[in-house]
Amino acid sequence: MSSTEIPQLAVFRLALDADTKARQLAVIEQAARAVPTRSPARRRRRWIAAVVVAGLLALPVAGVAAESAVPGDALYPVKRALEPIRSWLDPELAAKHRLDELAVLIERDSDDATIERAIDEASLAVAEADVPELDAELERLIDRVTVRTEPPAGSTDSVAPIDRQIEQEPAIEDSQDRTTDTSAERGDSPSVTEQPALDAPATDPPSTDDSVDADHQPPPTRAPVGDRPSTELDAPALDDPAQPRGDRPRD
Amino acid sequence: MSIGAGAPLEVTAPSRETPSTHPLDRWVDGVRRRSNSAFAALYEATADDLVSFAYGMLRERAAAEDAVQQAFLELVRAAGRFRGNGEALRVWLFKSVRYRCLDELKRAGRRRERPSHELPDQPVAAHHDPGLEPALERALDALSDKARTMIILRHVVGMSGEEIAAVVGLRRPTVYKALERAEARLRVALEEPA
Repeated sequence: MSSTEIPQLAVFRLALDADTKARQLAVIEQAARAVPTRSPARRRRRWIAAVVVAGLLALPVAGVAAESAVPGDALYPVKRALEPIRSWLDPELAAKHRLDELAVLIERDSDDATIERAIDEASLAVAEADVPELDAELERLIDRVTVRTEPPAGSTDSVAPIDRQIEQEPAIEDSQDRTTDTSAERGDSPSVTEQPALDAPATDPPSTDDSVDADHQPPPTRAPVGDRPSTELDAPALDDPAQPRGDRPRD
Repeated sequence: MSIGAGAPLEVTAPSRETPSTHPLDRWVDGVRRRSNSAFAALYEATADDLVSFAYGMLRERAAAEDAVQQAFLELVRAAGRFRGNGEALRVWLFKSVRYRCLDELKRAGRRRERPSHELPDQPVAAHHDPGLEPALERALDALSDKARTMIILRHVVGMSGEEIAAVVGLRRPTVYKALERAEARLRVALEEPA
């Protein structure tokens, strides 16, 4: 991989001119001279202790309230902030959360950009967790995103969207079963029609349904599942470098 | 990376018993003591990379320069507590710039939402540089913050996967796979008609 692989990005390569450097350095050097040499006293420590105690008291309340938050919700930052702490007990928590959020966003029919970002986040978290079940769940969710894509204009008169096709399949089969097996199954027919998994192969519709034609399915507009990074981590893990204290800049 | 070999130094030179393994190692002690010459040498060695990274994230030169200066000012305040070598120092600076860029993007998003609630979701860029191609901006906007960060660090700054992993806080294999996916999406987006 080299920097020439995406040449359009070269436009972001900057070199500061001498005047800008001199101006910024003057500000930095002035700040370095102004920093007190002695560390802050007890008053600051008391403030920190008070903030920590208040935070510890508020954590459980905020954590419960933020549990079901998804990207865009007011409490979502709280959920993300608490995740590293809760991950001590459940290392796969972040991946599970991202998958849950992705599922909710898909259910809500959120816009494409939001879902793409959610897929990105979920892919990273699942790759970090390195659990096959979570990876399979992510693939199922991405399949749901793919099949919900609307067909192109002009083709809707003869072809139903794939998700509708999937919903129609059990109804057709169910009705067939009822017509053919009524005498045998009377009184013992299933009270609940099982919904098929959304990742069931949409290209193999029942032949009795004239409205369903796999050859006319609209092409998915999202990247196929294969483009998503696999969670098979075969390279050695990188030890985290020593994290500087005060890592997160404060405004 | 230019290190400014001719810059005057009052910090301790690396001893022969413990040879330096990173070009910035020689200035770490001076930074801890808040030596102006160490800050100057460190700035000279890293400013161009940092401002390029910030420009890729924010797409506005003045905002990028401000992010770099703020990161150095933060380093001035935190220097006494810094523990680590030159590599950690470089990573610290990039993390600081990254956080400032993300904060700036959030602020810009809030400013944009304030005039009207009827506006659709806009690109995440804080500003708009008229010199940039709209297709490139759209392609970058389609990426998540982390994916965009990794793309810029790799293709603009030229960072290694190991350094990127340290900056974004992920494992190296994860970075490689996420980068691969982000690059593929970016290429597809760049080839799409406007």
